[in-house]
Amino acid sequence: MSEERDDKNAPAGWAALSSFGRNPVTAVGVVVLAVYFLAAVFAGLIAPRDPQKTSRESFRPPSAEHLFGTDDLGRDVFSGVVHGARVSLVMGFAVALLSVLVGVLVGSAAGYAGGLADDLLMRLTEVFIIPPRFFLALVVAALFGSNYVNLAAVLVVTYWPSTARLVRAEVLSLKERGYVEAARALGAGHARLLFHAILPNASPLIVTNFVMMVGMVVLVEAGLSFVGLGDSSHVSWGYMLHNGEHFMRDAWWMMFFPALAISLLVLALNAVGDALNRALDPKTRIAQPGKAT
Amino acid sequence: MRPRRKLLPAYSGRLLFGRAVQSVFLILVLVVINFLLIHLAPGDPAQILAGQSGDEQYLQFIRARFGLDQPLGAQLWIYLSGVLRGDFGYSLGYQQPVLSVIFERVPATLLLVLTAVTLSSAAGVVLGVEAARRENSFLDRAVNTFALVCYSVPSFSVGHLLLIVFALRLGLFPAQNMSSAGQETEGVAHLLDVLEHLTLPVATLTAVYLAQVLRLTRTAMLNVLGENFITTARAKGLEERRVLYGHALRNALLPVVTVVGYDFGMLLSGAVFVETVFAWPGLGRLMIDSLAMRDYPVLMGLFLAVSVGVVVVNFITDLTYSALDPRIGYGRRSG
Repeated sequence: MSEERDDKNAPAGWAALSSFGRNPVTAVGVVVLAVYFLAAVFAGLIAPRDPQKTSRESFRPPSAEHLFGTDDLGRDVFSGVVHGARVSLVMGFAVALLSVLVGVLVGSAAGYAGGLADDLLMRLTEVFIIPPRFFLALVVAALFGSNYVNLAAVLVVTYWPSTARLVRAEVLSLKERGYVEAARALGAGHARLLFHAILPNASPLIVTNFVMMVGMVVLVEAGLSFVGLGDSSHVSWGYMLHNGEHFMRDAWWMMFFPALAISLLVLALNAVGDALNRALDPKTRIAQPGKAT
Repeated sequence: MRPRRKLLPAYSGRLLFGRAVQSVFLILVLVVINFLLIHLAPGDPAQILAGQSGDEQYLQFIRARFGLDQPLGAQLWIYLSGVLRGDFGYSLGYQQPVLSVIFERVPATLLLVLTAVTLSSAAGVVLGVEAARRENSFLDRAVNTFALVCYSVPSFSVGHLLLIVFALRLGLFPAQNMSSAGQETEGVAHLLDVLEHLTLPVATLTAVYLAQVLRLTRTAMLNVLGENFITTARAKGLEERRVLYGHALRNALLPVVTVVGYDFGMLLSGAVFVETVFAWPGLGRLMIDSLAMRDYPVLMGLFLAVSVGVVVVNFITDLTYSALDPRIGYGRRSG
């Protein structure tokens, strides 16, 4: 590795991120996220028990044997929390990735093309942005069945418009820059201009939007499971909260640990997202997705 | 006395008319989405329009009522004209038209949401301005961390925490419902009773909204404080308070109002969780109850009502925006 950073070829936006890694809060956030990833990948090895397996040892408070206690059916809460990371992370990342992908395509096409295409695409975006996400998800879960595919589909359908708007605004401002003019003067085609000159410079904003969106999706999924509309084929934190609510007076651990798991994950994602945002631009912009839960 | 600023200057009238037309169009689209959801869902549309508790005779009635044997276009027309006349269907579960079931619950949710929005906007704006004024100070960091935590913790978990600590352990506030059961109180006593029940749900919802308003205000203020007109205002020798709350905030509020206004759906979904945790008899609670009872007419009616509410609030946000924006103002600036 050379000591000198090769800034000449790096897009301007990414260069601004050099301060990102030096922030201690970010470092903690990244470590926390890594722990969650490891838990999700190696859940089978880390969890001492099968999270679905019931036993006669119900309502045991946290102890050396049951780190986070047991629930009403004698299931190990710690094992549930570890396995729950899978649902949250897979849903969070899959939904955010797809939404951002669609949003970037629509937003950059609208911003770059301008004119009638821009008008039509933005009208379309307006239609998709209106139905309140959480209520639509409830209705779809009730009418079409609450499985992960349906939930992911509803969330993607309602999350892409915000990214599309953000990216469109960014592309509108970027396409007037000097280096884009220069590339155009050199004879670069539309695809080359968009994918090599404009989008790389919008990518820090897109990544920030993605990171914060993952956190919001994790919250929405947990919320749906909490009101009893999640996919019950896998252990999820939201379901554990749903179940624990009936016993909150006596078995606080049934709700405390899943709630802590959700909160820490989303906190880490938002902290990293905030740090990215700050590193991006001294004139901080508002790339904050609305919180539904 | 200074003449009152006109709320809507003439030249933005056409713009707002355009927005009004667009809002009506969006409402029509929403009704169509609702219709499509009913028909795309697996199973018999009549079952959804009737609700799970309908018997075969009632299903026949529903089929005739909604013309389910006719082509889809004709069905859409029947559905659309019904909804536009205010007919959202009938709930067998509640033995009432859906619209009156919904209207019964509106006051409880409005009380909860409006109280929380008022408190969180006031506190969020002041904290956001003070944090931005001393960027990177201890206060700024503390306020920021607090907002980040509130923004990250699920609202139902905030609710559970307050419920367990202040209602179950300390017994300071009632845990459930909007008023005490079994006691018919009136006048001031009733007001105090409701207020007592309101405290914890409002505290929960305020914490959630506060995070949003605070973060937005701080960001917007930081942006505005770097502008030339702020430097000019300071150079003029204006006192800092007027620069901050007069000049800067007036401009910083625009994005805040827009985002909060456009997030009305989010505000309501936050209320669903809080109403669930505290058994608050509002729209959110109704939604969850109708899900459990498979009362689809109420469920679909609520979805439509909430979506239309979002469109209307967005429109009001546009009005507010033009009233607040110094550039769309009537040619004069205050301060």
